[in-house]
Amino acid sequence: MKNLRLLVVSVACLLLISSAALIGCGSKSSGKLKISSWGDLQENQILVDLINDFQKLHPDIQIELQRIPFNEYVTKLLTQIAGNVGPDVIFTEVENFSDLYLRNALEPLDPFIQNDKLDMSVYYPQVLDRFTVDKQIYVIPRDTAPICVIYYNKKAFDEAGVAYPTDDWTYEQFVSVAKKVMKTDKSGKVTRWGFVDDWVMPQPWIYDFGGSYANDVKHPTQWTFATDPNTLAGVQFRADLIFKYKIMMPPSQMAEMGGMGTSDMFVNGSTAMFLSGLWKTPSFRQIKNFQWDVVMFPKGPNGNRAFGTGGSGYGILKNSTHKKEAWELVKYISGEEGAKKLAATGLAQPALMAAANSALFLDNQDPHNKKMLLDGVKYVKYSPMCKNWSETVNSIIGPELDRVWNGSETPADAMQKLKPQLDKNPPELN
Amino acid sequence: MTEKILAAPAGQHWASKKRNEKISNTLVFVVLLIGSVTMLGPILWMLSTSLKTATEVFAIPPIWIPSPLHFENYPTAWNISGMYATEGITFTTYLINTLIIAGLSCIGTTLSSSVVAFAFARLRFPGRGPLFLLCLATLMVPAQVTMVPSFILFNALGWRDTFYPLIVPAFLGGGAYNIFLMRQFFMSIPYEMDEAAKIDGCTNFGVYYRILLPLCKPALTTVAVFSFVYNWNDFMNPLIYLDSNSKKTLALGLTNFISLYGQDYHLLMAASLLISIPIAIMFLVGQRYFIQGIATTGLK
Amino acid sequence: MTSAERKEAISAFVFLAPFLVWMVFLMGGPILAAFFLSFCKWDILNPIQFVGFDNYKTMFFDDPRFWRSMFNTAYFTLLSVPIGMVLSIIVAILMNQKVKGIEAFRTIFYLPSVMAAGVAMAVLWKWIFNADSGLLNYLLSTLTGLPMSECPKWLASEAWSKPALIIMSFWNVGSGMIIYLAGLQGIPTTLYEAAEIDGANKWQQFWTVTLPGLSPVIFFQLIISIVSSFQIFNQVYVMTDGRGGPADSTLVMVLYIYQKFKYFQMGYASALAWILFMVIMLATWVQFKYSKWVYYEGELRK
Repeated sequence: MKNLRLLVVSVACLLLISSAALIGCGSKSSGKLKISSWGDLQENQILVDLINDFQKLHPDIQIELQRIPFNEYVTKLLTQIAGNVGPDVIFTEVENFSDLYLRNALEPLDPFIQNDKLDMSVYYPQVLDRFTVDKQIYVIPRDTAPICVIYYNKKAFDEAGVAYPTDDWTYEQFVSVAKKVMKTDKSGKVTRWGFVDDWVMPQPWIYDFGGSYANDVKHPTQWTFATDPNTLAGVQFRADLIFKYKIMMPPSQMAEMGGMGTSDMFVNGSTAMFLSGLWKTPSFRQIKNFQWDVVMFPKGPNGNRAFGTGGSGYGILKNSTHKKEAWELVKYISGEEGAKKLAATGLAQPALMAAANSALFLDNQDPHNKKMLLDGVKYVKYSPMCKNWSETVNSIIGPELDRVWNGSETPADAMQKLKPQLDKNPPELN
Repeated sequence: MTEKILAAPAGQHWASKKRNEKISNTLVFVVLLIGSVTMLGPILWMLSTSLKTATEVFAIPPIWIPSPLHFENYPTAWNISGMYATEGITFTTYLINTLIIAGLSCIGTTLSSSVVAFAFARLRFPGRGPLFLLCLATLMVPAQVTMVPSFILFNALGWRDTFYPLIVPAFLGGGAYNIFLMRQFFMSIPYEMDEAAKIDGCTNFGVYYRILLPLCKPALTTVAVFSFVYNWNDFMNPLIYLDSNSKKTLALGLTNFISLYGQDYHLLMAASLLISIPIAIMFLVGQRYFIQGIATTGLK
Repeated sequence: MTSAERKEAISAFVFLAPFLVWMVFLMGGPILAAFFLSFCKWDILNPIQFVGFDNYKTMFFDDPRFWRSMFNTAYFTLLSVPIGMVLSIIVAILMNQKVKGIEAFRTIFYLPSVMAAGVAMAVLWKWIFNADSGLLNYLLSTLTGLPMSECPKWLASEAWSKPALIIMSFWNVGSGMIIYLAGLQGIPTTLYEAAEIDGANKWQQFWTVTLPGLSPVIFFQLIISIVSSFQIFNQVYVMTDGRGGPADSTLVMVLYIYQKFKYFQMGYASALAWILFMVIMLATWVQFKYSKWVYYEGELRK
């Protein structure tokens, strides 16, 4: 009797497991082309549509799209590659491109480009250049995102009686404007900041002031962060914004804003201006009665202008076994169709110049001044390409700068402390 | 002993004792009430956020009770709709997947951890001590380092993008924590019971199945609940082992509301609350079994 | 071995079979791989390079972040475990009283443990710890009269970031409470009655009946809590956006390991994990060695 019960239970379990197996059955697909990508639902839909269109044109190629959250993209990618099931086509952005390139993960695309006689001049040269090393192209760019977009609240400016900023304003004008649009309550507590940003690295200020991180972008051999006087000037200026001019909220306070980001502060009126890229546009467009526009990041001393940028593109993994098909897919999704769809969302500036210049992008929707982005691309600077870039930024420079933004250390002292650490950990190229 | 009882002044003693008990009970009730507010507070805040629009989430001054109450956030979040739903996959898909994974793991863990624990608690074999220590040792290795080798292993078995890596380990002992827990429970039952059964001609398996297991029903329920909750909320393992959108679980589904560009907090809260409801209900209903149960056999 | 002993051993082997499969293939393999990797350099995209003790040498002599993370982890464990245990026991005792609605209370207290420490929770907690307008400082200033601006800056300050995380961990008393509750209900009431007749008051009863009776549970929870708090990761990751800030003040070991993994340094990450493993082993062994205070009523069949 007990044996019968046991039998029944084990058989039931086996049945359950096998049904789970059928439902959760893996695609024993060695023939499928795998593409993995991060991105929000809007971007993903664009990709899904593009892939569907592609399948109609190429019914012989089976495609599997893997959607991975941005924060875990690299982790998952590495795990897959370790298990030899990496995707064929990957989505990469300007920062982690160097990680993948320097570790020989990417397939050079020139042979394919030349074979198909593809005209690469249709892309912004600066953007394409990021993904080109030693004259070889590794990634076809999808979008560029100069981080030079200062969003400003028109109503705040109207209230303070200040004219809207124009693209050619300088950093000094920036400070005086920010001061005027600030609001404090009776007890002296700030209810509206002039400006906020929560970027870990103060790139725009450093670049605007002519500073640098390393002695060369594509082949850095030495960190100049702690020794370049312009870098110090940039960092000092940002610290001044917080402590001297007091127009900017201390970034340390951002840490406890309960997930409220700078854009949320902008929307609820706690700040008159903030710095970001274009990608906040779609969500702002949905807010009623919200008057806002964008202006280019102000010029630095000597009329100098430079800022960092985001941007992404598609590449092919070196150990893909379907390179030809992968190329066909990459070509299609980075082409005109995709760029047009992207332009229409307002989410990102397509790397394809024609799409960026088109009415799809430069339409009548907010922000009105978005055409400044086309100009902005000219001034972008990229991060040095070395294996330990992320680590240096996050483990060495970042923590030390945390103290500067906290007010517990001056920029000059921080640089002093950083110099020996940076010398001990030079850029790694191989 | 009896003299002491007889000597105790009756009446008066009991009356004051009853009064003290009433006071202490009320005190306890008040303390628990305050404690509950602390525990529930964040959840209520989540509820409030889930009924706001995107702009209201971070409004200043903070809005406690939004008006109108945007109940539509719940179906919106569930269907990931109005936001370019991808390939018709909604939280229903995620729910089914998670039910399969958590349910099967729960069954597997309960069965196998008790079987294994029986060996550690009741059977003598060479190397029992060291083997148990090894078992405990597996709790001490951070998952982040075994992640890649495990993935390579499961991949070699051809289990990429299947539920197997998430379910099979449950049937193989269910993990050291559960084995440890069950072992402690078995140890609390006097060995005389096993001996009695053995004298009657019971095999080891018989002792396990007919004597110990029924006595440990509450312990088993505990293991079942803990493992179900763990798998329900597990994010990392499904992330690593599942590729297709159609296989994703509820915890992964939450990432639909988080992107590189920002987070849809109102929808995220709605979804988070929704997926916690089944667990809460399970606990409320099942606590009778497992708390009382854990008790009588005692984790002793 | 006698034939009876052999029979028993074989029987044990059968019972242990699933566990052995798991240990050898699913655990043993990866753990040994991690051990082997700790002597190598591997960025996953390229072949594994054997480097001997280099990783360990760097770790001990050249890596201030390693020591930082060990300190942070130890700090967190040494504070959150004892305080957490005391709180759980107190809550469990409260939950053991015959009070109206006790079942609802138990569910309410357990609920937070069920809601995974995800982004949703992190948002809320960050607000609570907001130095200017958060709930915690508001309560602090009302209770102590300190103006809000003098209150700790919690997540924004190097000194108060760990305490903030420790406070956050107390919200999970629910899961410990369940186990202690079970233990409490397992103590025979006859023992309490006997103690009361002997003239012990409630406080004395606690020390002479409750605690000893609870000691096996306490032991179990102590071991498990220390093991798991040495490996704390999720809460720190979501509260600091993976940075362990400010200025590495909340960089705990597993977060450091995860960062190294993201920086393509699998070998070093594995070495770090092994050191952590050995520390936890040592801590557990010490606890087992000095566990005479635990009082078992049932027995391990020797």
